[in-house]
Parts: sequence; C-alpha cells; structure tokens
Amino acid sequence: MFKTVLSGLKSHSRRLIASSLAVALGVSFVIGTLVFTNTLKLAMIQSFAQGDQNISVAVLPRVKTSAFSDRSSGKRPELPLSMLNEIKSVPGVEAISGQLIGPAVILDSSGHAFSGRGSQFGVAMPSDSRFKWIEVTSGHAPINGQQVAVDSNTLATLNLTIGDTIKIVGISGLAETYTIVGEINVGLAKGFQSSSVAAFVLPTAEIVTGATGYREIDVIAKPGISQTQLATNIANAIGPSAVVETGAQKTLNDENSVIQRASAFENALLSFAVISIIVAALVIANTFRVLVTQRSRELALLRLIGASKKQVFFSIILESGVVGFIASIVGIFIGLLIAFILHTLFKSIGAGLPSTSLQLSLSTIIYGILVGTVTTVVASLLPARTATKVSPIAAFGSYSDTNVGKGFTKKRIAWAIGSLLLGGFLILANLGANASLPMIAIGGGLILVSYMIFGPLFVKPLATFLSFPFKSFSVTTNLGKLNTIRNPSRAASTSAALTIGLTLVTLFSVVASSLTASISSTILKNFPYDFIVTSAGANTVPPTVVTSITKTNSFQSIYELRTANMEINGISVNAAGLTPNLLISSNPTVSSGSITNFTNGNSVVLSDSFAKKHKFTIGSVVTISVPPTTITSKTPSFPCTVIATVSGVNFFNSVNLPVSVFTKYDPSIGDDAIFLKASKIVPLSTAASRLQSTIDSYPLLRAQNVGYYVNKLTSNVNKALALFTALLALALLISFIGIANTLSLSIFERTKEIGLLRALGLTRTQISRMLKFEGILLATIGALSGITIGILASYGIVLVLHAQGVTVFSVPISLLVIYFVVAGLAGMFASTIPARRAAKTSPVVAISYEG
Amino acid sequence: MDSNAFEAVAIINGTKVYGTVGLESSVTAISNISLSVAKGKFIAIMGPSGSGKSTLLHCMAGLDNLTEGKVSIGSVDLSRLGDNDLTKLRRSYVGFMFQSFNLLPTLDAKQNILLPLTLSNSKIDTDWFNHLVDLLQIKDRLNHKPFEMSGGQQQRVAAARALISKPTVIFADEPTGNLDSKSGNSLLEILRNSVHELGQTIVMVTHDANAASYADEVVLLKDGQIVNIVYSPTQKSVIDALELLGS
Ligand SMILES: Nc1ncnc2c1ncn2[C@@H]1O[C@H](COP(=O)(O)OP(=O)(O)OP(=O)(O)O)[C@@H](O)[C@H]1O
Ligand SMILES: [Mg+2]
Repeated sequence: MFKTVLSGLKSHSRRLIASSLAVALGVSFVIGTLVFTNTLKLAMIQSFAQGDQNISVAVLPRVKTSAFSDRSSGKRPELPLSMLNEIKSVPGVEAISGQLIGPAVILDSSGHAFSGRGSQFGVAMPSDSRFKWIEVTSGHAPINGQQVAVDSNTLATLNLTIGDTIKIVGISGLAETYTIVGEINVGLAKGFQSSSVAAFVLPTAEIVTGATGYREIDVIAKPGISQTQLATNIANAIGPSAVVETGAQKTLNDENSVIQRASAFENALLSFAVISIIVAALVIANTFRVLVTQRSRELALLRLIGASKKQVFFSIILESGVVGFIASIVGIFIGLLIAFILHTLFKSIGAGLPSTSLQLSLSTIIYGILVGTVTTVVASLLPARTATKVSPIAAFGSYSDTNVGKGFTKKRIAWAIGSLLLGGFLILANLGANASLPMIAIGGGLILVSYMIFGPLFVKPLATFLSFPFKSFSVTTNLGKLNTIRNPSRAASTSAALTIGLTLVTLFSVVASSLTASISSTILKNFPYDFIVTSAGANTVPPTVVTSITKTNSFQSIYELRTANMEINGISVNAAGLTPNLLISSNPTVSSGSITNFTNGNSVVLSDSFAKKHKFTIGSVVTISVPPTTITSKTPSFPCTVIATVSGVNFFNSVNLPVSVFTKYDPSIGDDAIFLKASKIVPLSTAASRLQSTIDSYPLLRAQNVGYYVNKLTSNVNKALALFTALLALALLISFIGIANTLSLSIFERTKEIGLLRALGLTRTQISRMLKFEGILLATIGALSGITIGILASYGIVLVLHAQGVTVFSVPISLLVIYFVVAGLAGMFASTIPARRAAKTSPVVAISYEG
Repeated sequence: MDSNAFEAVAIINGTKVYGTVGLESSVTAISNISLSVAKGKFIAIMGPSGSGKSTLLHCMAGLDNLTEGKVSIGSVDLSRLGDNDLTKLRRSYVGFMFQSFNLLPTLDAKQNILLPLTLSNSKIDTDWFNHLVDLLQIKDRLNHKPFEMSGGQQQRVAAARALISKPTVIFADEPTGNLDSKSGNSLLEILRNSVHELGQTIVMVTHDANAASYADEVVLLKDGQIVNIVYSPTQKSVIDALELLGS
C-alpha cells in the first residue's frame, strides 16, 4: 500500500505543489515568529546581563515594576533621592549609582522637537563606568551642567558630533543649550529601544527631567564583601521600604521579565500565524477533495480489485502526512528566512539589538513539523472519508466534474443551522460589559462552518452578479463564469480562504473607522474651539502656560484637560481633570444626576458604564487617591461626591474631576490639551498671533485647529489597523495561492474541454482570458462575502462598544472598494500561471480519447 | 500544385514524425501523403490501428503541424499561418466531430451549437439553425445540458454545431464509434445528406465498413501511406479492400 501511495504522490506531485506551498507558508509564519522572538529574547537577556554584570546589589521600589514599564504612563513608584546617601554610608559599599529617568526632548536644527526616533529621555549619567546600564562609547561622560552625552543613533540622525551644541527641552518646557561631550549606547534591555536618550550629570538630570526619585539604585561591593552580605547590610540600613536584591537575583529576575514580556509579543504574532494555518488547512482540504474526485476511477479500480475502505482511507491519510511533512520542512526554511529579514530590519532601524545569531532550537523544528503535518492530515480527513465512499462500480462509469456537489442532505443542513445558531448565541452572549474574546472567536469559527456549508448556495447568484458588468464583453467571460459555477462547493471552499482574511481585514477597518469617526464627530460637535494647544511627544503642556495665555486677554474660553492615574475606592483608573465648563458646555448625555454643580469642586462625574460596572450611585461619597510618586511619600486621598453619570461621550474618561482638584493634590501634572475660543472683541488673526508668541518660548508646544487634534488622537488607531492588515497579509497570500491551486487542478481535469475549445476556435489569448476571469470571479466572490460578513460583524461590535463611546458606525467605503478591486486583481494575478499552462493546451488532446 | 476553386482541402507530400527526426524513438505517423478533397465530397479514411488516420486528420485540420509538406483549406495555405490565424480559420472554415467529448459540459445544447458563431462574432442565421435542429431532431433538447442527453443526441448536437457555420470542410474522427448501429446510421444519413443536398465537404475517419459505405470515396491507409482508394464504396467492397490490405 505504501508503494501505491508513493507512486500516486509522484504521479500528481505537481498538483500538490501549490497546496504544499500554502502549508509551508503557514508553518513559516510559526517558525519565523518562534525563531525571531527566541533570538530577541536571547539578545535582551544578554544585554541585561551585560548591564548587570558588575552590580553586587540592586535596590528597587517595593511595588514591583518591570524593566519595560510603560514610560509614558507618567509617574510611577520611585526610590526617594535621599536614599542614595543613606546607602552610600553602609559598610562595604564601594560605588553607587541611581537610575534617574524623565522626559527630555531634543530639538533639531530648526528648533522643532526631534521626532525621528520614538520617545525621548533624559537620564543621570552613572558615576562610575562599571555601571553599564549606560555606556560611553566615545568621548567622555558629562562632568558639569553644561555638558551632555547623547545616544549614537540620535547623533547620527541629527548629523551631530562631539563638540557640537544641542538644544534640549526638559520638564519646564523651555529649551537649554548643552555641549555634546560623549556618545552613549543604551541597551535595548533598558526599555530604551528606538528612543533618544540624553545623559546629564545628576543635579542637571534632576532639574531637566523633574524626576523626584530613582527607579533603581545599583551598588558595587568592596573587594572581599559578598553580594549577600552587602545586601543584608543595606536591607538593615534602609528597612522594609524597598526591595534589596543581590546582583545574581537581579539578573535572574530581569531574565524572567524579559521572557514574560516576549511571550506576550510572541502570542500576539502566533495568533496571526494560526489564522494563516487555518487558511492553509482550507487550501489543503480543497486540494485533497479535488484529487479524490479526480481519482475516483482509480480509487474505484483499487476497491474493485480488493482494497478495503480502511486501506483507501489510510492511503489518503498517509499521502497527506508525507505532503505535510515535506511542506513543513520547506516551511522551516522559509521561516528562517522571515526571521532573518525581521532581525535585519530590526537592526537597521537601530533598535540597538546586540548581535546574536538566529536561534533555531530543536523544539522549534519539532513544533513546526508537528504543526504542518498535523494540520495537513486533519485537513485531509474529510476528503479521505469521501474517498472511502467511492463505489467499485464507478470504475466503469465516466467521471465528470460537473455537478458532483454532494447536495444538501438533511444532516448537512442540520450541521449548518446548528453551528450558525450556536455561533450566533456564543457571540451575542459574550458581547457586552464582560466580553470574552475566546468565546467570540469560537462563535466566529462556528459561523464559518455554516458559511462553508451554505456557501455553495451563494456562488451562482454572486458569480452572476459579479460578471454582470462583463456580460456584453465576450464569450470568454461567459465561459469563465460558467466554469466557476459548475462546481459551486469547490468554488465556495476556494474563496472561503479569502473570505476569512477579508472578513478580519474588513472588521478591523470598519471598527477602526467607526472609532475614528466617533472621536472626530464628538470632538467636532462638542468642542467648537478655535485652537487646541498640545505638546509634542508624550510631554504635557506645563501648568504655567495657561496663566500666560490668560494674560493675553484674547480668549473667551480657556479650558484645560489633563489626565493622571488615580484610584477611586481602590479601583485604578486613568482619570481626567478638566475645567468644569469644558464638560458642561460639551452637552454630554446625562443619564442620571446633574452636571451643573461640577464647578463646586470635590465632585466627580462618572461614565455610565463605569458607574454601572462598579455600582456607584448618585450622591455617594467616594475616595479618590493619587498613587505615591516615591515610596516614602504619603498617598494624598480626598473624598468626592458622585454628582452625575454621562454616556455617549467617548472623549472623556470614566472618571472626571474638576481640574482644581487635580491642582490641589498634584500641581506638577501638566495639561494634555488646552482648548481655546477666541474672544469676540479680538480678531481671530490677532488672537492667533498673540497665542503663538506666548507659546514661542516652549519649543514643544503647538497651537492647532481641532482637525489636527483629532488626527493626533486617531493616528494610533490607524497605525494599529495598518499593523493588523500587515499581519494578515500572509493569510491573504495563502488564500490567493489557494485560488491558483484550484484553477490549476481544474485545468488538469479540463484538458480535453480546453482542447475542444481550441479546436473550435478559441485563441490562446482567449483561453487565458477565460481562466483569468475565473480567477477574478473566485477572488471577488470571496472578497464580497468577506467584506459583507466583516461589515455585519463589525456592526455588532460597534453596537457593543456604544457604551465605550463608539457611537458612530462608519463604513470606509472607498477603502473596502480598494480591498475588493485589489482582491480581483490579485485573483487575476493568481491565475496567471494556470492560464499560461491552459493556453498551451494543444487542440489535438480533445480528439484523442484515452483517459 | 495550385489550389483550385473546386478543392476544399488538400495535403501535399505531407510527412509527420513524432519525436526528433532521426532518433530511434521517433515515429513516422504519415509519410509523404498527398490527398486532395474536392468541394462537396464525403471522404472516409480507413486503415488498421496505428496506420496514421488520426494524424492525417489532425494535420489536414490544422490542429497539428506537418514535419514536411503543406496543407491548404479552401485557398489558404496553412503552413503560412500562425496560431492565432489558424484558430480564426478553424472558427469559420472548419467543423469538427469527435468520438466523444464533443460538447462543453457547462453549455446547453443550443449554446453548444451556436458556439462557433459566438466565437467569431457572426450573425446567427435563424432559418438555418431551425432547419438544422429540425433535421437532426433535437428541437426539444435545446435547453438541455450534455449530461442530460443520450450519446446519440449528443452526437447530433455536435453535428449541428459542425454544420452551423457552413464550414468549408468538416473533419470527423469516428463520430459513430460510441453509438449503436441505429443512431449511428441516422447520423451518417444526415452527414451524407448535408454533402449531397447542401454541398458540404466531409472528411471522416472510421473503423466501420458500414460507416465508410456512406462516403463517396474511401481512402485506405497503411503504415502512414495511402495504399488504395475505393470509389462509390459499398459495405462489401470496403471489406474486400480491407482484407486485401491485411494480406
Ligand atoms: N503524440 C504522439 N507521439 C508519438 N507518437 C504518436 C503520437 N500520436 C500518434 N503517434 C503514433 O503515430 C502513429 C499513428 O497514430 P494515429 O493515432 O494517427 O493512428 P490511427 O490510425 O488513428 O490509429 P487508431 O485507429 O488506433 O486510432 C502510431 O504509431 C502512434 O503510436
Ligand atoms: Mg485514431
């Protein structure tokens, strides 16, 4: 039997190439992800270890923060500045250095914030070169307040060298000039990847960054003092307020946090790899189904001469196993290539990766082979079962590919309706406040199953609809259409692969567009302001700016909006502090209570959904607390009265406080934005120029109109959309391989027919055009279904997100039209090779009757 | 030899070698054949299996290239034509009938019949179409797909398709090979009538002496060469000639 299988494989190996490629690509995504993330992990671990190499003891804030903690989230627990001297006097300490980090924006030659590289930081240069978390690579460390050392990537991008001067804006918002004395290298491990870093002497760093504490204090022991001994000494000296770790412990902890962080990244990538694998499985299932149909006579002959059903079944399974195995091996190589490209790309954008060779472990290889082989075998289970149903009598009959669809048996309809209902139920039941993503995914999968069963019903009307514009075109398009609908279940499952990808792309696009539209419509409707002042990067507008603007006497409304992490009855939230009139004049939909008393101070307005979720009622007094900024500072907390709940305004946060409350408890927090409406007695242009001259001394500040502000708020949404689409690209590519595959398979079985058409007078070009039209139809059927399902699904999601402020359902029609047209073109492109082969068919084959 | 106005199709010193000439594995399917078919004639080609009948037919129809020699249909020399021109020539001037797989499975009978006209963008002669479907008794089958028709009906649809464009010549390779004798005879009757009443030219390959007896002349092939021609054949004279061939 094994021999039969192998000879069978050989004889139609060409027909399996495309589907093997599909599996190989799916596997390559998995392998690429694993190799790349493993390489990244190792590089980061090495870089951590390098940074930690000389450290005997590290002191960290009690509240554990990972080395990667989000820098833009503002203040986080720190060690008080005074602790440095406290530890310095502990016996056994030879050298000590505190990690002091805060915002510091470098200006380019034109005086604008340098935005070429991600975030921008100022740090205190370690006092001793043995502390390697920042290393001077050329020049020297700054020795006075006028000197600075800057990371080499930023210097290269700005075309600056040692000896040049550079302008840097700190927490004050004002620019200062420094002389560059050194180039530094900040490891990726420090969480500084693609950031600009400026290192100052400690006192300058404190002033520039406004930092009030250290994120970590590192200590080197005197010779002869062990790490544990020194750690004990320090712990005894400072008490339980901070965590004391030995260098060895710290290295281990850093390693774990790297692995944890990398796993999240890995899982996100892998979930897209899974989508690719599912699409590849569809392609494989389709191929085996077609092969089984094409070989039904051969199989019947096998049965006739005594092969059992079991033998037939296992011959197909064995065949798919061999194909899956080979494809997996190929996939591993492609995966390595992908990882290599990603790695090179990462290096070239200056992510500061230490050079590590690609990490391909045995377990990765085994994983890849398993994924590819098991997927292929599972995908061929159903076709193999179909193969066992070929009756021996079929050996006498002739085979036609037309109308071999299995028809709609009661069982199939029951399956379809069952999975549609269950899928719909799962999705509906899991939407809402406590949405469960896995359940929704399972529901989506079930709906896909029912789509696969019902899909064939839609093929004919869709194909007729889609080829309508071409109706008068020519006989070739008509033939192409007829070929597409001759076997609706095959057409449906071919295009289903594309449907999956496009459903997801459409879903992301529509939700993103709805989000963007909701944000902009709310802002444009509720914030009819002339100017909005914001700061570049993650910096905020310094609190003093409002006072200067007020002094221009040019504005009738000056409203502030700031945010900070706070706790309300112990629940952490990102709270908004705003000028009361900003909330009141924006006319939010008040669900309960009244917002008129918002001006009174010590009152809080909650979003409807937040209040419901945590059962806050109007009139109840809640405790708001500001988390400690350094471990020894007290937590300021104050009571506030819930005066109203509002809904439908996505612009505000769940918890909104009068800005005066913010100022009272943490005056250092700047504004996210200042909204300005020009006074009626001053011409708009005068107001604009007065505003501009006010903020001129703050290089990071910008006064823009509302549209620009909307863009700033929505740009992240569009970035995420682009990323999702890019990650789905491989799945889309696989589905187009599926289309090419189905077409070439059908050319194998339609050789005679094509020969006949050639004999009757279809030119080569016409044959090729006919097949290209089939490709276009298959692709556009898949695209249209995907786009439709995607729109429906995203409508559901938008409904659910209504409470979160997505109030507008916006379908980006031109974008979807582009997807549709691109899908059609790609379908045409996918059919190029099959079409070329078909055009080569000699008319003579129609007349020879063997086969 | 110039092609003349009475000639529908002619092959002059035609040789066809499969594989590379000179190599031992090459097969000379027909060698140095000359045959001219006058307009309005019904020619049958017979011979043992492998004698080169199909090859001769393919080459005369312009489906395959000769290794040497030339073929003309009407007044057109096929050797001068590229693939596109050959294809266009086939659309309008050549009709085909095969033993099986004559019809496109996706088209119904009417679409199949009209396919040559659709391809060449020609006007449909409705009277001619009605006449043909009456003659071939397929009027009530016009909306059926091929798999809904019997073998005889399918062959009659194929005959209608071959005749619809009034081609210069119809090539048929064992058109009755899959039919029982009754439907075979009625098809041959129709083919002969189209020759005698409408002036159609037909070249038909067959193994069946009865089928050959419907033709005006029977050309006998052996080892790729014409060895005999039987004029005004009867079933008996054809069988005799075949026996002579075998000995
Ligand atoms: N494509 C080909 N390649 C190689 N040899 C071929 C090819 N087609 C035909 N032949 C050979 O050419 C010779 C003539 O074949 P042809 O098909 O013309 O015979 P035929 O008279 O039609 O036979 P039959 O009555 O069996 O149909 C045979 O020896 C055959 O093996
Ligand atoms: Mg033959």
